Amino acid sequence: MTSETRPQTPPKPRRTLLATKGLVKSFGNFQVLRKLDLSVREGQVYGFLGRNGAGKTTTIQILMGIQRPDHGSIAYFGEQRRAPRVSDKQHIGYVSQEQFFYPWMSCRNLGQFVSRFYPNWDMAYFARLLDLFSLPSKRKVVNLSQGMRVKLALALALAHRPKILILDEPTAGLDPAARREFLDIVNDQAERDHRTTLFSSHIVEEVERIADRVGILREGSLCFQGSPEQLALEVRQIVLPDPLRPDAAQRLKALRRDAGHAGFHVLHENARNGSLVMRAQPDQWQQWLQGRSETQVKLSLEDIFLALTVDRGLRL
Amino acid sequence: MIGLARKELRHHALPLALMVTGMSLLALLFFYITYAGANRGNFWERYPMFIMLGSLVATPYLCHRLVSLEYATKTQLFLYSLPLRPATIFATKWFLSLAFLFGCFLPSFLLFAWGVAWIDRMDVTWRQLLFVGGRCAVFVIGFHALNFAFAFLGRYRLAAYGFTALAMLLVSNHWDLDHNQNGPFSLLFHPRFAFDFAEFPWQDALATLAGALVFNLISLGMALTREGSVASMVAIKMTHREKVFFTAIFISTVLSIMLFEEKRTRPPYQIEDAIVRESAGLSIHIGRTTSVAPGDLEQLADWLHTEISALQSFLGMPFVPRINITIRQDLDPDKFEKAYLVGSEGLLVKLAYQPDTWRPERFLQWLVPEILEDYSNYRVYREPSFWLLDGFAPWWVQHRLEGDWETLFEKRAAYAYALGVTQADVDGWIHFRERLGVDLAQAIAYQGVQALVQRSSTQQVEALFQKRLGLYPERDVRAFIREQAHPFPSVFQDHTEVDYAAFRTLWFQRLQETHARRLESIAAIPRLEAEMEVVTLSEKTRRLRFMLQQPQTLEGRLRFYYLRLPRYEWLIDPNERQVIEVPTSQALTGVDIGGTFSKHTRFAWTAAFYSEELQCELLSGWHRTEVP
Repeated sequence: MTSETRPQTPPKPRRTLLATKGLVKSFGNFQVLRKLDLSVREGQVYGFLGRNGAGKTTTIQILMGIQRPDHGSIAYFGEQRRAPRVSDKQHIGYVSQEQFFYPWMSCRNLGQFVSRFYPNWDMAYFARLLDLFSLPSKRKVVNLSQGMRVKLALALALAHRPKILILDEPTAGLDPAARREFLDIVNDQAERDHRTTLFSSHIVEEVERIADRVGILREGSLCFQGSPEQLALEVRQIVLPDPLRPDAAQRLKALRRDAGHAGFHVLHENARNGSLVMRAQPDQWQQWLQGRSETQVKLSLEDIFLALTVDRGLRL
Repeated sequence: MIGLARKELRHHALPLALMVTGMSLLALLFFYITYAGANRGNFWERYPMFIMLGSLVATPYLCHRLVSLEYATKTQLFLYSLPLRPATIFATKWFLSLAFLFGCFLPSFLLFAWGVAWIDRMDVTWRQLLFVGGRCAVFVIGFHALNFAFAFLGRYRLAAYGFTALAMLLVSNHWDLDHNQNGPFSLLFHPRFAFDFAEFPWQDALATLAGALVFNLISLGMALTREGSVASMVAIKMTHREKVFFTAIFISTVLSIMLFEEKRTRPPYQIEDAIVRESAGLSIHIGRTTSVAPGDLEQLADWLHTEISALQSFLGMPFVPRINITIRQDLDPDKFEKAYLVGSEGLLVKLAYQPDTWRPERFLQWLVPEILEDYSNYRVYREPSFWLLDGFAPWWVQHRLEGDWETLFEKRAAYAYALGVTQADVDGWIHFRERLGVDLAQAIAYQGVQALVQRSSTQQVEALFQKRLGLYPERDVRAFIREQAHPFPSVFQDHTEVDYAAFRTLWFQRLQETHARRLESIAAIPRLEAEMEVVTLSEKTRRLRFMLQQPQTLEGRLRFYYLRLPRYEWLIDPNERQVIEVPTSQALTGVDIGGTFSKHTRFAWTAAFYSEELQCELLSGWHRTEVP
């Protein structure tokens, strides 16, 4: 992660716009979500990370009322509900993973159709967005490329000036240039309008570029929720000094035992280079590192994501 | 809701416009057919058929466009992401599809009402319009509810349609339930649809609406619960494997129903306190009556049991349809009537019986074909070997009963031959039978049997009878397949070693010889010619008169048989025919049939005269006609 790509000073988090509590959802015997607790505060760009099949889309479809949870509740703008009301959805902009627009409609027609369901719809703004995203307003959806459809979906999601924007892996299937362009637009929206955004993806780099808060979903529940900085403070890699010495394995074992006694959670062990990836609270780290000879290595968000979500057998 | 409705209208504008146009054209076609068609009462009579046909075409298509298509293209996911309640989406589509259906049918309703008022010149009252419109509307609502629910089944809806049809068939067969008399179909197809404006069929209407409510609740349930991956799974097209699976299920269900139908036996017809004679596979019941001494009835039962047992044994029949006899002394002594039993197995025969005037050969000659027809499940009507059945009856009488029947049968054959018999008559035996009457047709067929015995051998001919008449035919498609696999000419040749075409030549040679031999004895037997006169009473009303044309010198009593033929019916049902009997002198001047007839009424008639010489009725020949 570099300081150039990180949003500059994010607005200070305010009230929670969207939160889930104990969300459970199963398809047959397969439990997709296991008591998911997620919260998105006003003005945040929330990066919702998880591997394929972790339950990101299911979570978002539940948030949008497309699916119903088996258990749990959701708070929309501070109001607890099991599913969003029409009035809630009128303040949410949503871009789905795949766009299922009516192919016979033109971009403008689609805007006119959707505008009837949003009291705050701003047709002039929609036209500006189309223009900004280089979308021909008279072109039919069937003739739009995948990248153009995603941008159209974003224009539709923004034209009613929603309080929160929910993006469900919108860049899946886009080429790198289109992906970069899309992320720039979202980033720009978030910075300029302080738009609260929930951005789901399994591509860490995308989230790293725009998010000021991340939630990492593993097997249906969040294994981390907080700022990327806090994540970097919690998950660190420790490398033994002189890891090629013959007793490196014993020292690594001893290190691991020490860490366990200190309440650390060992996420990954690499005997070859004599390193451990561990998770603990920043103050625990501070205490434990005092007077130790091991070297700390700063991990990228992607490394941390892999350490948190991938089985331990996989080498970093 | 309005925004969604506008979207639906824009989305489906062209197909719906085409559908409305198509339905209007269909309505015009039905209107024209009704206007130009024969035997019509008023315009409302054909309207139910239009509603049925229109519903069958329009409803599934509308529901496909508004529901199935949405799920197939997954655009429902887009709709669900908008600030819209699923119930609102459901309600919009439900109202639109129903409104479109009514929109399709409304012009036709007005057109037919106009036809009733201006062409039929009937008084069109609000009550009449409400009754007809109400019946149709309730049916349309019910049918729409079913189709709307099925549309949510996506890829499985075709299978659902197939299974619904099968279920209806099964219910209809198992419980002898006529769908046209019950529930939604009764609303349209009740015989009084076009005439009864006094009592609305509330019970059928409420049953239909209750069914519609159930289906609409099912639809709503599916609309609210179908989401995400379930929608995707149901919406995609059937795989080839699924198509094969459902086709196999469908075919096996049809076959199962057929086999079930084969196994199904109706309860036997019961006669209280009957005289019963039973043996293996044979049961004869004769109802007691005060007009005949019990001892005489016991004697009749014994004789009949002996004769039918012999027939059963000869043909190798595992069973014989149960024979029930009721004595009706009001009938002619040598006339026998068969009643059709709808809910029971077996034959019900009505006859007049007096021991001193009883002619067993006439009864046996009449009864044997009736038994074999019932035994064959009436397939003999459809088979090219029908003549063999008619030839068998006199052969069996000759075989079983003492008496010189040969001369009588020869005279009948000679007389019939003189009226004109061709090879084509053998193929169209049922028409030939109608033209000459059963007795004369049997005499002609008997000549064929005799020619065969002469050319082949008695044993071989008996084997042919046993193979063709004694084998129990299945009550399903297997009988048809067997007929196709073993056509009569090849079975004939296998058993008699005579080529079928060569046999027919021999048969006609024998007829010619018989005719030449009996020419003198039949010279005095009259040939009947009669005609029907039509008297126009008004533009649509006619009165009919029968008149004997030839011979002018005929003495005795003449009968005119006649019946109205139902629509699409071509068989003359002996139980439906009516009779007028008059002296021949009156018949020569003309006999009015009581009552009046509408223009284009389908009608069948013949004149008949009992010949003492031939001991049977002579017919002028059945004429099928339409009242001009």
